[in-house]
This record gives sequence, structure tokens and C-alpha cells, in this order.
Amino acid sequence: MSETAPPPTATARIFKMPSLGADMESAAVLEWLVQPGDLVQRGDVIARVETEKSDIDVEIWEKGRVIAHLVEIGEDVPVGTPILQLGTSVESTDPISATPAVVAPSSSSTGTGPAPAQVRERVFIPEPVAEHDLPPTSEPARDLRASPLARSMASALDIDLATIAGSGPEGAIIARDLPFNSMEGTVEAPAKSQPVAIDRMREAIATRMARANHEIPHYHLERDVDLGTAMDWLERSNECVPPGERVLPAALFVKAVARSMAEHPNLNGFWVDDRFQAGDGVHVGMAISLRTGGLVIPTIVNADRRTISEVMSSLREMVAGSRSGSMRSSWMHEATVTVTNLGTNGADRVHGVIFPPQVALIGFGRIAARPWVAEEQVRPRPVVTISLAADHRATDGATGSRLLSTLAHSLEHPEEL
Amino acid sequence: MKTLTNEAANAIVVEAICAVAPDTANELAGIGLDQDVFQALELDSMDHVNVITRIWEETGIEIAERDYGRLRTLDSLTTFLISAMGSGSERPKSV
Repeated sequence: MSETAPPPTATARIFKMPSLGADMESAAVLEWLVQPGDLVQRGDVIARVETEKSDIDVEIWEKGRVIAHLVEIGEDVPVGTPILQLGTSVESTDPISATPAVVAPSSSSTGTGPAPAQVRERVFIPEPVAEHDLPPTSEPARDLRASPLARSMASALDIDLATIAGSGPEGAIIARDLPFNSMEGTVEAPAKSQPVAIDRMREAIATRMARANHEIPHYHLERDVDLGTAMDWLERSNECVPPGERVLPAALFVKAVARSMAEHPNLNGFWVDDRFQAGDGVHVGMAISLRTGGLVIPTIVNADRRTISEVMSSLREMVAGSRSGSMRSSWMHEATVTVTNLGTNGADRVHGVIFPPQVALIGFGRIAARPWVAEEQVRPRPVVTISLAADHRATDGATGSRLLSTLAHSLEHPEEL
Repeated sequence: MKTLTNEAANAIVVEAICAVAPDTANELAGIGLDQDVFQALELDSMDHVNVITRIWEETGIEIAERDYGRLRTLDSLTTFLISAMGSGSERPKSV
């Protein structure tokens, strides 16, 4: 694998294969989107890489001129391998958009050192409803080594991988080990990333959610909120702007959650080593369901410091990107809290499962007209049920209740958001 | 003033949906013209706004939020585009 990289000069910097999840060990560049000589800006996508889970557009967060590609297309290299050499330039790093996991500091060694620690497991997440048939914690099936293609073909052909002897590295099952002769007709290799990703995703969700239900003593709280004011406010502001700038309630929800988390920091962060560790900002993970099954949870970094329209455009890009299979590396930052929004066609309320090591998950049911009592009158109002699933090791119900009150107040006064 | 044929208008709508939700392309082919296409393909409100935006970018035609409810079939969207284009109500933005 790693070729000898040209020795970095005093002014050159090295961009390494980023870690896009703790369980990601390696990846291959599928396509270079910048060429030697190109000038790159912060936020530019420099390459599309293939991990075992999905294809990801890798962004860069510093400026510079590309000197050389350091790996071949298709070459599977470990996380931390230098992949791009950049000429010196200008300062970069703005605190909002800098996602430190992506750019390795130029001073560190060029070896395949450990990935930056900021990103723990990301991306793939829980089904927000309770699961009944969780796998035993010993995870029998996961010990099988098999290539993504083999897994996806086995699944398509309904073959149990445990019955197959592998001939790949370390006994891994690879596609040609599968009994093709038993198939009827011809089977096309599965479309690039989707089926493979879904398979792996299901596995990741199963493991994560089993761990959450096993380890985390959840408590659940709910609160109904009258969204009448918020919906009127959105309608008025959407009337005067073109479609591309219209805002949906989901953006209000995310912004309101982010603001509320900043006020209740005990719910914003992680449970690690038997103690609570506050987040270094409010980074909201947004659960996005895929029509093909499964979920991805891209993160909006520092969501409390973004405007509602910025949140809205992030959400739109994330939904479109997730569902068309092009994730961005800047979405892989570790979230400090997760939001699940069931949307217009969803259920009335969700009793979520926390994504460990986070300590809270906030769910929004569908917005529906319901009878609402105000000033001793019953009126139909658009109402949403907000639910909180929180880790009882980190907080108690009183703290959770206060968070929901803050959240309700924000949504009743959208102009303050 | 430009006019739009039925086929061209239909193609704009179909192309917008395919761009936003490429995974539904196969199903889209089997959707009836008078079916709620967003519901049938399980497109949520975020997908919906992406489709509306795409149509706007392609044609300059703005579909107002108050019309979202009645413009959920391929037929109604196509008819709307033709009449909007005919009446010149599009913004001078593109096309």
C-alpha cells in the first residue's frame, strides 16, 4: 500500500486520509476532484473516497495549492495515510466550519498514526423506535469476515455467510466464494454503494442500539407544543422569498433544540468512563431515514450559532446528499445530541433510543391539528409532541423537564430564534 | 413569451424528482398521472421543497407555498407549469 510520499518540505503540508468513524480503518480514493496545480479553498471537496460503509466526499478546511496526489485511485489505504500534498499558504480555520477530524496538522509525522480523536463513531445510527429482537451482545454474525460485495450478494441471494468458507485475506469471504452455480440466471454486481452500505448500516444500527438499551437507563418525557404562532410566522416569511430560501418547521426545531441545549449543558455531551463530559459546543445530529431502509445521522456543527436559514440549507443538503448516497466529511463530526423528526407522514410521537455515548435524544412527532385549550376555549391548533429520551445516569427528570420548557418557549416565540 | 408543451412540462417535473430522489426513478415510471406522487414515492417535506426549488431553478417558475397542497400529482404540476409559463408569471431569472 503506502508508497513513499515525497518528503514534505518546510512549507508543504500533508493532508491525510481522515477518519470518518471510529470503526473506519481504511478507505480508497475513488476520484480526485482537485489536480496538481489547483488552488483549493476551505470547504472544497477534494476527493470522493470509498469506505466499507459508503462513499464520502472529503472536504478540506485550509487553503493552498495542490502539489501532488500521494495515493493511486482505488488503492485502499489506512486512516492517517498522507493522500495529498499542499503548498503553503494562508491561514485558515474558522471555528465554525473547521472540522478538525479532516485536516491533520502538518507538524505530525507522516506515518499512519492514529486518527484524530475528535470523531468517534458517527454516521450510522439507531432506529428511533424500540427494537424487540435485538441480537445477543456476543454478536455472532459480526465476527464473520466478508467483503462488502460478498455480504451484499449473499444477502441478495439469501445465503447464510456462516455456511461459506472464505478464501480472502485472513479467511475473509469474498464474492467468488459464493455458490454462483446455485443462482438462477445472472446476477449483476450490486450498484456501487447502496446495497452494501445498507447491509453494513443495519449491522451498525443493531450493535449501537443493543448497546444503548443494554447500558443506558433511559427516562422519557413528553410535551405538546402549540405551533400556531410558529407556522404563521413561517408562512409569512416564506411568502416573500423564492422556493430555494423557504424554511420548513424542521429547521426551527433544530435551531430551538440547539439553543435550548446551550442553556441546559448537562444534557449536551457524553457519558464516558462513568461520568458526564460536556460537549465542546452544540453539535446536532439529525437522523435522516433512507427510503431503502436504515438511517444516517449527519451533524450540524455549532448549530446554536447558525441562523435559521443556515440550518435550513444544511438540512436540505444533508437530506438530499444522504438519500442520493453522497455524504460529506464535514457532516461526520461527532454530535453532542441527536434530533429525530418524524415529519409530515410520521407517527404522533417517538420514544427514542439514545445514541451512545450521547445522553439525550429529542424527537418531534408529526405536526397535526389537535384540540387545544387556551383562554378557556378549545380551538384546533397545529400541535407537535416533543419527546426527550435522556440518560438517567447523567441527569434526572427535573433537568429534562426544564429543557422541554425552554424548547416549548422557543417554539412559541419563533421570532426570538 | 415562451410556451411549453405538455411533454416538456412533464419532463421538467420528472427530471426534478429524479434529481432529488434518484433512488425512486424506477418507481416513478409506474406512477399514475393523477396519483399523489410525493406520497407514492415516500418523499417527505424536505424532498418536496427540494423538488419545488429544482423546478424553480430550471424554469424560473415559483410555486407558492399555499399551492403545495393542490400540486401533488404529475398532472397538476404539469398543467400548472404550462399555465404559469403561458401567463409569463415566471421571474426573469433563467430559461
